[in-house]
Amino acid sequence: MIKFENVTKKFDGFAALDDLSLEIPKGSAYGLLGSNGAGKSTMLRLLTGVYKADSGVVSIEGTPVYDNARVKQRLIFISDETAQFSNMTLNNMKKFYKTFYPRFSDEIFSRLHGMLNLPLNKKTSSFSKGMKRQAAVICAIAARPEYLFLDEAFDGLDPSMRIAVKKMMIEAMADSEMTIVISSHNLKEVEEFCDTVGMLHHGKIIFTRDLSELKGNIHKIQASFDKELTKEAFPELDVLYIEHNMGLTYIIARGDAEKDLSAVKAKAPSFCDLLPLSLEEIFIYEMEALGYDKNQLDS
Amino acid sequence: MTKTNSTADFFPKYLRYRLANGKFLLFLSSLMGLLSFFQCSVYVLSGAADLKNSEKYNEIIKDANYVEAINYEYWKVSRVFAYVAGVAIIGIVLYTAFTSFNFYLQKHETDMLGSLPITHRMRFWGDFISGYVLSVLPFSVISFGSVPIIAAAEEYIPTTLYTELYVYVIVTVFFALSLIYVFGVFAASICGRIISSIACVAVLITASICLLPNAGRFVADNIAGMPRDDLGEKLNNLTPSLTYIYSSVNSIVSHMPLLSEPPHNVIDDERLGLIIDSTAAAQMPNVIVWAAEIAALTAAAFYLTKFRKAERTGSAFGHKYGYYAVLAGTVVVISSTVFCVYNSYYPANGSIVAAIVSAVVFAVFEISMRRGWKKFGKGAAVLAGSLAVTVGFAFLVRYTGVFGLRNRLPDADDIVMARFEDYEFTAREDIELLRQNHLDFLNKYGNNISTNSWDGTGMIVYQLKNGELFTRRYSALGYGEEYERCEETLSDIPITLKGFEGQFIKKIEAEAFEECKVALKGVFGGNKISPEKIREFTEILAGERSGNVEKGKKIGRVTFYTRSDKDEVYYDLYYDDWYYDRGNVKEFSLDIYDSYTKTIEFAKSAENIIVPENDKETLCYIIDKYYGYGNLYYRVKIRKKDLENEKVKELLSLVSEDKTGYTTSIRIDSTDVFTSLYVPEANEKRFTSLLLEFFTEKFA
Repeated sequence: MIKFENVTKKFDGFAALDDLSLEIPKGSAYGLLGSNGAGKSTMLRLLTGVYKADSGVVSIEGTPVYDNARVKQRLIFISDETAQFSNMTLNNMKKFYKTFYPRFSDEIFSRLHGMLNLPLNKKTSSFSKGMKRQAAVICAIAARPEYLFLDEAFDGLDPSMRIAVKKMMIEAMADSEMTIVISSHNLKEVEEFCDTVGMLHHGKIIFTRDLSELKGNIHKIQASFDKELTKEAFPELDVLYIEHNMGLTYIIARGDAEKDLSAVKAKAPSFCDLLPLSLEEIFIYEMEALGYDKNQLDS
Repeated sequence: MTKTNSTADFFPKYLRYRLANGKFLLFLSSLMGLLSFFQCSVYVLSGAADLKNSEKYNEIIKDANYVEAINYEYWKVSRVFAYVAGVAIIGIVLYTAFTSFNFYLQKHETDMLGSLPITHRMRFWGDFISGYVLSVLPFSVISFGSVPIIAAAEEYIPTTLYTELYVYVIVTVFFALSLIYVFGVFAASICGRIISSIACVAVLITASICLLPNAGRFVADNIAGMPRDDLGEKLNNLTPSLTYIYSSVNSIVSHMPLLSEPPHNVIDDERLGLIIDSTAAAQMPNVIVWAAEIAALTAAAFYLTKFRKAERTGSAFGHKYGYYAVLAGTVVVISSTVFCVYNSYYPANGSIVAAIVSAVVFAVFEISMRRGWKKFGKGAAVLAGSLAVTVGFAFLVRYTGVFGLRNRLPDADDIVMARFEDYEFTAREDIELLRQNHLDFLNKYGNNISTNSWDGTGMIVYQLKNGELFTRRYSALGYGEEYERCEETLSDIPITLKGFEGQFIKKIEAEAFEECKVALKGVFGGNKISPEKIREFTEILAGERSGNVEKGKKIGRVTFYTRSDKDEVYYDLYYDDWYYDRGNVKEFSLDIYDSYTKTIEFAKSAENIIVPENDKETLCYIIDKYYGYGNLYYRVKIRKKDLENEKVKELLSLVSEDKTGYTTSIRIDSTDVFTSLYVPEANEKRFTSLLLEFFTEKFA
């Protein structure tokens, strides 16, 4: 269990994290979403003991992380900086991880390296950004940490490599019950393997949701009525959002999809249908329901 | 159960990782050690104990051009290598210290190392030790290790004195490099960029040079006003000299002080002794100070890094107020240094210069850090505050003597013996009078004197009942009549004491003076008179002073400048200057009144008893050999005792004042006279042969 308890972190008076409290269950794949400057990287650096919180406690399984070697040997952080192993070859990186992480598996390393076929004895400074990222991920997964933290993990990867890296991570999670926290400003990137996502905005987690629950629980109904109906016309529905466009009414509601569809049909629309919702749309509606303006969140 | 390592395992692992990452620095440091190899071989060749019986020596004898052709050229080449190695190793050590702490320099390193399973303690010591091992140790081990290796290979056994020097130089260089490394570490602990680290090291070195000795001096002069043995002396010894860091650097640069002399000159044991004395940094009290400084800076760096926030990586300073702290430190160091130059007794002048210099430095800081106008005000306030503190302190020292401590003297009842220079007084009446004169002097000239205890011209010591010594040294400041009055008052402190007269005459008589000089102000000045006449003169003077006649008007002052036969004057061609060992010079002064008619008459007649300047018995000879076009030469100092040597006598008989057909010129020098003599061609062979024989005896 990862726990943030009333954590505040300020940079020159600016609160990157503001009294943040959060719990991430062990074994989960947590996607940390937010726009640039929302505090995602700060959260990960606090989680990995790079930064010290100004106030509050960041702990893993009840033990504070900062300056705690025993806890930190169970986690690995891959930051968004790709220059960190510039002076090393992939072989050197392997040795480096092997030195500090006792569960390092040569077998997993060989298998993952075989998938990506990166040069072993060439300095990573000559690698492309994507290759550096792949090298870091290979070593981190082979080290089999209990907790893996990735900051903008898919930056610089081409689509095929994204798929390969995601596959590696999913396999690692399945094999060793690894807890992964991955930050991104792109929801699509994390939805394939994260089971939980949290939205960070201006140093605060504005909500955390289980993805499968979220996806199954919110739906969009498209209908055509004689007149424009308001939210109040559907008291039996938990309507998050209602919109009228070109004579059609779009209802975003939380609850049982079939029941809600029946309730709408009961209002005698000339046309009614259940539409699929992307995760991105679900987030937007959830946040708007919480009173956040979509445009504001983008800023 | 998750497999984990004991956290104790992480430190050696991290250390190995850091060491493995620094192979290039290891190579550079080792290379510099190898460059110093040549100087080490000079050391061995020069320091061989049994040179005379060695084959090398026979080669030297066969080849008259030994010095120039072999050793001198070799020495010149080795010196270049040693200089390069010395300067480079300082750069390497500092660079290593800065980059060993690259955790604070680059963001990607911060992320990588910050998330590693190591604690701050492990990381600090891992970085510290690896940097030290990679930079200081390879140079030290290779360069100093090469000396015994070369000696063993050449089958030379260095003399005890050389071995002692060798140990001193090792200690000096080892501590100097360690201190430089710790300066770098400390700078890296508060700075976030190489450039700001360099500025910080510059401040630290200046602070060490300027503040430590002066702080010690302040303590000695004021806090040590508490009667504590000869604490002032001890503190002065503890605080390294003004040039201590540069001396040590010079030791590194030259590999050893031998560099300042061509190797054939340092074969002389006496000269070696002087070199050993000059490596004061290796003396135990200084080693203690250096070790304490190293420990203090290391501890400070440890805690400064512990409380340093990782998010400041990439900033010029690692702490929020780091810039202001370094700025304030710089201003204090600069302005204190300026006041030291002005001796803190001219704070008005010092203030202006300190303000100008500090403002220039501040402008350089602000521009180089690109801080902008918004923050300019804060920086300017720190500048003004730091300057005000230093200036205020200087004025405080100048005008209050720091809360009266400057004028504090022990109670007369506690004093069992008082001493002024060499004169000791135990009579109660004399002690009270000396103390009173001392106090009057302080009250009258307290603002015109320097209490610099290492250049004082008047030393007063009180031995207290508890056995401790209360020591003060003074010298006058300023110029003109005021300066002279202060000097006179200082030296007059004991002369009204009853016990003075007898001691003075005894001292004059006890000294086996060969040459004396009497200067009677207002009558004549600066002539030399013979020892016999000196004795006669002092008897006349003493007789007139002890008489109970009315003294009358003071018309001048007679000063005896003495030089005993231990003194030595010589000309050093390497430095192209005269050297006079003034270690035995003594000076006695007494007032002359118009009632001292016999004294005045004698002084006036002294013009007729001047010792002939060309009296060879009192001279030292320097023989310079010039030849060819390259102005290459070697020299031999012939002391007075050497004049008894038959070979030297013969040598001198071969020279002539006639310049016709000469091949070699020699110069015979005394204190004031320079005489050029020439060797006729016919005498050249014998002259050279004798000279070599003379060398042989000297070297033996």
